[in-house]
Amino acid sequence: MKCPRAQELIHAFVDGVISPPERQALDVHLAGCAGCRGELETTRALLGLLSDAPRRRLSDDFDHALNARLAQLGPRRSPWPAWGRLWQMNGWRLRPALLPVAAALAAVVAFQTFPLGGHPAGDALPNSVYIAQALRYHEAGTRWRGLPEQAVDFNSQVSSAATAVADLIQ
Amino acid sequence: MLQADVLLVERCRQADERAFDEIVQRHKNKIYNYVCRMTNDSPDAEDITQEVFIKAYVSIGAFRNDASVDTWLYRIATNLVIDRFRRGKRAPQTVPVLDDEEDPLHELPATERGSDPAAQAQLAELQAEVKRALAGLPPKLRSAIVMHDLEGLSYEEVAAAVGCPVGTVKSRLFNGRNLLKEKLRRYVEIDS
Repeated sequence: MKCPRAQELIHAFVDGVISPPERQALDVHLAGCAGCRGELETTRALLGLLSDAPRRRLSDDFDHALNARLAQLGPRRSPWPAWGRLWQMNGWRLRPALLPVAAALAAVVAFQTFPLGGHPAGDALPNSVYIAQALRYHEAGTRWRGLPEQAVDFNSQVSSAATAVADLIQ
Repeated sequence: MLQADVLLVERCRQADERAFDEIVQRHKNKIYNYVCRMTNDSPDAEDITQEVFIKAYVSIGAFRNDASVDTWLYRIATNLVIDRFRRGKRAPQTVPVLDDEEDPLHELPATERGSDPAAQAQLAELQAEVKRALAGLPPKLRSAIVMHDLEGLSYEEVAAAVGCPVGTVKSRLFNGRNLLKEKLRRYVEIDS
């Protein structure tokens, strides 16, 4: 092994990523090369100096200043805007397991507020009948993945219902 | 990627502000130290650190789970620092004279400072020299040295943070360390 290759391996060695055959070859080279032994020692000494470098501490005001800047950006936009905000109002988090509960709430409120065909905003309210049908499947114990083909959009319909309900509440 | 970070990112995506605050608390000191070392303790370091988290906050929806939060934040910080270099707001090569407030020992608890004034002065001088030598490195080499040798990231993590192959990271470390050894020759050479 020549010195340039040995010097590359010295860095792999001090970083703890040298392979056993490379280590063996390096050991053989170092045994007969004072220059590379010196290189190994200076590299170790350098890393020792760097690891002793003092760490800085943030000022106590950092969190306050950052929060003030974040507040200027306004509330975070969720992938489900109104839906996410609705859940957050009560400190809840959206979980797939809660979707049926969400759907039930959305459908009940929608039916109470606007019986079939009575919505003043026309298309703003999603297909409540469709949701109710999907809910019946769910209540009957049908598994989520086992819903009939026409209900594959159940998730998006429920999400739309919740969005519409959130808009009505605002 | 740490499981805790995965969960925090997921909660952030669901608009949970407390989760983002937790990410800040977990990573702010590492990022601040990285920024300090990249900008040679610029007075703007804290401001840049805030910007890192603001950018993260705004773009967390685009965060990919195949990266780690750590390397993602380092990448944002690296881009911001290099952007500052380019705009020349703060010349990173300038090395401020250390005053009492900037004395590296000022950061340490009294018990770690030792009681020997001569030893303290020697240590302070050494640390100032290391800082000066780091500041004199080209930004790409400095970034690799700071992330790997000071902050303890692996080759792969540094590569992910700066967006280059692992081989390039190794070569930057090799060249950066050799330059540092030249600059700090009197402190690292062992008499044989």
